Amino acid sequence: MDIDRALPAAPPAAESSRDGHTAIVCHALGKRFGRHRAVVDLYLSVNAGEVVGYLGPNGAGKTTTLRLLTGALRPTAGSATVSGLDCWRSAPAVHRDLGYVPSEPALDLRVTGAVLLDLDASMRDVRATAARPAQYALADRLVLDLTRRVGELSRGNRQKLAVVLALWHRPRVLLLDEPTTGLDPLVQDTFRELLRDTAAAGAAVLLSSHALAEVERFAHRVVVLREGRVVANADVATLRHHAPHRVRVRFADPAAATVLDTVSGVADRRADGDEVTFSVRRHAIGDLVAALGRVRVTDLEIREAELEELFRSLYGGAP
Amino acid sequence: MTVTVSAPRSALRPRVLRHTLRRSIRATVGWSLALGGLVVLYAATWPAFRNSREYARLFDELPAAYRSMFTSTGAGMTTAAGFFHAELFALTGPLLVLLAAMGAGVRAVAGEEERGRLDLLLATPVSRARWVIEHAVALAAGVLAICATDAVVMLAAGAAVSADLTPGNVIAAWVHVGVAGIWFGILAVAVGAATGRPALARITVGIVALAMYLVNGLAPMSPVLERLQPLSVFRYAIGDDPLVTGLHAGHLALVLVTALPVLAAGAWLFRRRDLRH
Ligand SMILES: Nc1ncnc2c1ncn2[C@@H]1O[C@H](COP(=O)(O)OP(=O)(O)OP(=O)(O)O)[C@@H](O)[C@H]1O
Ligand SMILES: [Mg+2]
Repeated sequence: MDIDRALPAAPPAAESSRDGHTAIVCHALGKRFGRHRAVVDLYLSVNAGEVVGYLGPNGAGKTTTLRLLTGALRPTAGSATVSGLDCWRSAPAVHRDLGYVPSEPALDLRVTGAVLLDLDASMRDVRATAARPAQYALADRLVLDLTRRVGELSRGNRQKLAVVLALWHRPRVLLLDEPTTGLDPLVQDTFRELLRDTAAAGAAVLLSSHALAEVERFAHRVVVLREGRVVANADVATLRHHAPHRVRVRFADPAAATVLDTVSGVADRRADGDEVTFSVRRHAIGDLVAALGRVRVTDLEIREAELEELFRSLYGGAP
Repeated sequence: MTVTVSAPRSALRPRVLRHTLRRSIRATVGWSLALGGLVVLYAATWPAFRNSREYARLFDELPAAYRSMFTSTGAGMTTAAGFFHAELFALTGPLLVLLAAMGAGVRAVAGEEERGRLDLLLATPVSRARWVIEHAVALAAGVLAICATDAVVMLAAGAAVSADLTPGNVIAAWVHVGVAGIWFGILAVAVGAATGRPALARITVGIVALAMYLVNGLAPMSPVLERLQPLSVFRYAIGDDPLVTGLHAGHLALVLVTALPVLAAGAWLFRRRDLRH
């Protein structure tokens, strides 16, 4: 085994590797807990070099999907495969190239981070001395002290340790269950760089989250799950292109706001005195500007909508 | 930065054994000390027993069936071997070793799982079967370490009160107790692996151990129990009075061999079920 692609000094982003082979495939995957169907007829694929954001409200089945992929759960329908290997039947072989950050990682609190990393190296049949350079480089990059007992670490620092455990061996497949929980914004930036480097080196990354705004920054593609079913699967760039703009206009005369009635594609309109906010589809922006030109406007702001707003409809009501 | 790892190493090389042993050191030392203290305590009372003909007669006059709870070979309390067997190896010694082994056995799978750690630990190339087997080996090593320590304590304490004990038999007695402990420890590993429930593993071991203990101890009182006696692990662990009669290798082998299908069944069921969260 040759671990010569040290993560912290990974090569510059290679977008082309996104077109690599399909690394993660869920085929008609289903998981029932008794009567309860946690995942239903799920089709999902992640290519090598691609970061896919996995979104959905509480209880949607995100964690269940990831645990099916780690072989912790046995599918009740369909299959999950990684690089062509079945995640349940060939779990140990799948795990050779798998990095996993569970939601709320439970770690042995009585030992140091270094001991846990030694154990992980041993379980991967890598000599501790061979594993340490990569492990310590990662810990340095995340500003994590490996000599302290896990029980003494703050929540965010434990999360960093989970990230180091998942990444040090340079996995080809990375499963991350709400990995940024508890990380401060600076560390989140570092984490994002790490993810980009990992993907650029050809890893397939599946990252679950509640916040589209977060996934938007990390991911190339977003899959939205609801009640165990995929309700959306789209490129982040495409989504952004179709996302409406949010507009805030202040009229000299509030009555002039009626000009907006003439513009099709205006939605979510709310008036507050002389100020009106609404969203508008991109194709209608020309009409909007023309309409606003016919009245006196004292202030105007147009910004790209958060994808969050776009997704509220998909989630159906509250996110 | 370049890290080159040597060629793939042997598939037989343990992956979690060393870590498991290191983590269990504290428990192993604790149980050794507790049991060692008990050994010293009994040794300290031996001179009083040796000199009390009355107590010895009292014991010898107990109904045979009742006395069989303490000895199977009829060795009286007047010899050091008979005394230590009745006091230490008839109940307390095996019980404490059993508790130590059960603790390690429950921790191996069900304990880790209940703490939610198994998800991450088993997302490595270590298979569930390997995890079970290496933990069983670590458990056996820990139990034998406890028994070896306390054999040494017993030899030293026995010498200090000039108890007439055969060193070979002392070691044999502790090996017998250790092997019984390993059997129940493996039962705990297996039930924990099959179900992921620590409490269920403990209850199962408790019930099986109690039943086997009573069957072995009360066998002389009932033909039915006598027929069941060969099924009791205690029959082979203490039924030979190894402190009096020495090592019974065949019986030890029998106990260890029957532990294997128990472990295999646990591992098999473990491989077929979901991990609990
Ligand atoms: N082991 C289990 N036994 C029974 N039901 C389960 C089990 N694991 C998950 N579920 C159920 O399956 C559904 C999906 O849960 P899952 O944890 O996958 O959701 P999630 O999308 O990760 O939610 P969250 O955003 O809250 O983390 C939930 O209704 C949950 O109660
Ligand atoms: Mg979850």
